[in-house]
Amino acid sequence: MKTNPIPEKIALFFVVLLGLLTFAFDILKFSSSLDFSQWSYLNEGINFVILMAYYYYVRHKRFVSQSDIQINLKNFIKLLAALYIWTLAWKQILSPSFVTTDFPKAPDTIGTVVYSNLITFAAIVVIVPMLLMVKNLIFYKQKNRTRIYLALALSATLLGMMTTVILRQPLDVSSDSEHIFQSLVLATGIVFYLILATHNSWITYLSRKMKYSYFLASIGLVWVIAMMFDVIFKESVAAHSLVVAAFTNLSWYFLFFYALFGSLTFLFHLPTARVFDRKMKEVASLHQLGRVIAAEFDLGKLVKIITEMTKDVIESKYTWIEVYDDQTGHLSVAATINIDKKELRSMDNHALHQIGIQVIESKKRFSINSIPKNGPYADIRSWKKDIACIAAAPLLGANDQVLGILYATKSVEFGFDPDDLNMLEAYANQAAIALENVKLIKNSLEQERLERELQIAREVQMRLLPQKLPDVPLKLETLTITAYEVGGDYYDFYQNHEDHLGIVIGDVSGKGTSAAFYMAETKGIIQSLTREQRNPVEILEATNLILWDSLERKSFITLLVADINYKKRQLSFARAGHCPVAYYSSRRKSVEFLQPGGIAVGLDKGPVFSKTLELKKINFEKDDVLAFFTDGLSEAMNKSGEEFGEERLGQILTEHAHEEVDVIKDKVINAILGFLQGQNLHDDLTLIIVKCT
Amino acid sequence: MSGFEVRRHDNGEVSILHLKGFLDAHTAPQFEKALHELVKENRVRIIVSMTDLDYISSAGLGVFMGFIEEIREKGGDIKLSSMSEKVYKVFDLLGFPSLYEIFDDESGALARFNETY
Repeated sequence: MKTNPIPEKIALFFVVLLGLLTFAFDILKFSSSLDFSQWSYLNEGINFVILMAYYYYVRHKRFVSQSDIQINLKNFIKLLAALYIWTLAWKQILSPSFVTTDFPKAPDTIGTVVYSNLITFAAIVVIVPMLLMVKNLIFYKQKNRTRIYLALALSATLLGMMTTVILRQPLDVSSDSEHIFQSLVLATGIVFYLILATHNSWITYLSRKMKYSYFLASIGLVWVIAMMFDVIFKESVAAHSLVVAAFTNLSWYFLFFYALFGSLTFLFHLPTARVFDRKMKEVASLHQLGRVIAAEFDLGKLVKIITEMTKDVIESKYTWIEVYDDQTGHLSVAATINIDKKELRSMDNHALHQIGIQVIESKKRFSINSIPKNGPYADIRSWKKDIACIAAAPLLGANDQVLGILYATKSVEFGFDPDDLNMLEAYANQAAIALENVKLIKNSLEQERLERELQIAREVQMRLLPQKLPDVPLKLETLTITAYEVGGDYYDFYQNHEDHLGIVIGDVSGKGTSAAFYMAETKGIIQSLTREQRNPVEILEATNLILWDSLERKSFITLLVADINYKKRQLSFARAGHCPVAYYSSRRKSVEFLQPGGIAVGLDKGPVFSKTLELKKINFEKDDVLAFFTDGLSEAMNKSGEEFGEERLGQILTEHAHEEVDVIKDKVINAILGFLQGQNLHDDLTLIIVKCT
Repeated sequence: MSGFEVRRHDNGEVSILHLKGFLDAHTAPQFEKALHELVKENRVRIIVSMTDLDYISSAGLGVFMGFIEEIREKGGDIKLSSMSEKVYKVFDLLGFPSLYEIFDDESGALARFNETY
C-alpha cells in the first residue's frame, strides 16, 4: 500500500479523541438535564468527522482491498458476527432502556448512554469496512456506469444524513405530509441501492460447489442483516448521533438489498451452475491445450496432456489415445489414464476392435451409452466390469485422414451427454493438430538435414573437379552446371606422361552424398592408375574391377577415359557406358559421334565388361574440335519433354568450330538456355571442349 | 514431372510389368517395390515391357541391376521388351544389351522364356 502512515495514525487518533469528546458530551447532557439543542449540531458535525476520519484510516487497509470474492465474503461475515456479539454482550451487561416518546429516543439510564456510545462506535468501525467489501464485489466486474451509480447512492446517503439532522425526523417511508421530505430522500436512496444491488456478476464466475454453499449461506445472511437494524441500531445509535443513525439506517437498506439480490441471483444460477462450471472448465482447458500444443513438440508428452485434460473435463473413468505408428502403420496405444498401457496393448477385445474400425471408417465419433443392452458390445464388460459406456472420437488430420483415436469410458450408464461427446471430439481435434504439428516440425528438420547434406555433397563435388585447366598446347574449355539435386558428374585431367594429356569424364548414378562419395573414390582410383598406365582400356578394366566390390549393386558409373598425344595429334579413348565423343573434323567440316562399345562400370564383374570394351583411336588435325560431355547435356529436357540431343551439339560445333573455344562454349550455353526456356536441369551437365593446335 | 505407373500382368509362369511415364530417382521406388513383390512371390521370370515408358534415368536403370543377380540366382531372368528408340538409346549407351535380352515385343520375350524352361 502506498499510503503515508502518519496521517492515518493522526486520523485514528482523531477518531478516538473525538469519540471520547462526544461521549463526554452525552454524559454531560444526560446528567445535567440542560437543553443542549444548539450544541447538538456541533455534536453531529463531530460524529460526521469521526465517520470520515475512520473511513480515511481504514480505506487502504489490506483486509478491505481484496479482489478475491471468497476473502471478501468471509471477512464480511466475520464483521457481521462480531457486530452481533458485541451488541448482545453489551446489551446483557448494561440492559439499556430508552424513553420511547420522542425522536430521537433519549437514554433512560447512564448505562444506556454508555451502551449507545459503544454501539455507535461499533457501527462505524464495522459498517465502513463492510461497505468497502461490498464495493469490491461490485467492482469485480465493473461496467461503465458502475461508478456513477455508486456516486449517486453515496450522494443520496449524504443527503439523508443531512436531512435527518436538520429535520430531526427518522428516515421512514410514511404518507404523513410532515414526513414527506424524508420519505422522498429515502425513496431516492433506495432506488440507487437497488440499482447497485444488481451489480453482482461475481456470482456468475463462482464454481458450482460455491454457488450451492453460498446460496444456503446467503439465506441466513439475508435474515441476519434484516434483523440487524432492529436488534442493533434502531434506538441506540440515534440516541447518540443522528448522522450515524441515518448512515447506519441507509447502509442497512443497502446491505439488505444487496444480500437479498445476491441470494436470489444464487438461486437463479443454481440450475445452470453445472453447465456453466463445465463451460468454464472447457474454455480453460482448451485454452491451456492450445498453449501447450504450440510449445510442446514431444509427442509422448502431448498425448499424455490431452488424455489428462479429457479425463478432467468429461470426467471419464478410463481414457486413452491410440495413434498410428509411422513405422508399423498400425494403431498403438500412446497414452492412458487409470489403465495400464501394457494391459491395453495386450488386450485383444473384439468389441473394442469393432469400435475402432467403425470410427476409422466413418471418420465420426462413436458412443454407446449403455453397454449391457447392446449385445455386440457386451464383450467390453467381460474385459472391464466398470465400463458402462464408451465413446471414441477420431483424430482427423488436415487431409481428413485418421491419425488416431481418442477413447473415454465411464462407469455409469448414460454417462456421456452431448456436451461430453462434443468435448471429446474437440480434444481429438486438438490432438490431431498437435500430431500434425509435431510431424511438420520433424519433416522440416529432416528437410533441413537433407538440404545441408546436399550442400556438403555439392561442395565435395565441386572440390573434386580440377580447379584449373592443364597447361598443354591445346585449347581447352570446360563447363559444369549442377542440377539442384546434385547429380554425379565428374571430370579430370592428368599429365603423367610427356606429350600426353589424359582426360576422364564420368557420371555416377544416384544423387547427393552417395554420388559424391563414389565420385571421390573413382577420382582416387583413376589418379593412381594413370600414374603407371596410359591405355584407356586397361585403366577402365582396372577401375571396374576395383569398384565392382565397393559399389552398391544398383549403382554404376559411366566413364570415358581419353589419352591425347598432342605431339603426334592422336586420340585414343575407351567408353564405359558413357556418352560418345563428338569429333569435328576441320577438313571434312562435319561432326562425327564416336561411340565404341563398352558397358558402364559396376554392371559386370569383368568378363562382359572386358568383352565389350573397345579402344578407339583417331588421328586429328589442327583446328579439329573434340567435345566430351555427359548425358545432362544430351538429355537436357524442355517443357514439352523434348531432349536437347546430340544433333544440336553437333550443329553448334559445325557452325562455330572455327571460332575460339570460349566462343564455342558460349554458343553451347546459349543454345541450351534457349532450348530450356526457364525449365530447370534435372541432371548435372558437363562439357569439355578441346581444340587442337 | 509426369507420373509413373507400373502395372503387373501374370501370364503363366511369367510376370509382365508394364512401365509407363517417367522412371527416375523419384519414381524408381515404385518400380523397385513391384520387382520386390515378384521376387517375394518367387516369380522370377519377368518381362519388363516399356511401350509407354517416356524416360528412364540412371536411377531407373539401377533398379534392374539391384535385382538381376538375385533373380538369376533363383533361375529366373528379367527380359526387356517394346522400348521406344529413345529409351533403347539409353540402354544401349550403357551397354545393357550385353547384359539383358531385349525384345521388340512381349511375345518375343515370352517365347524365349518358354523355350528356355
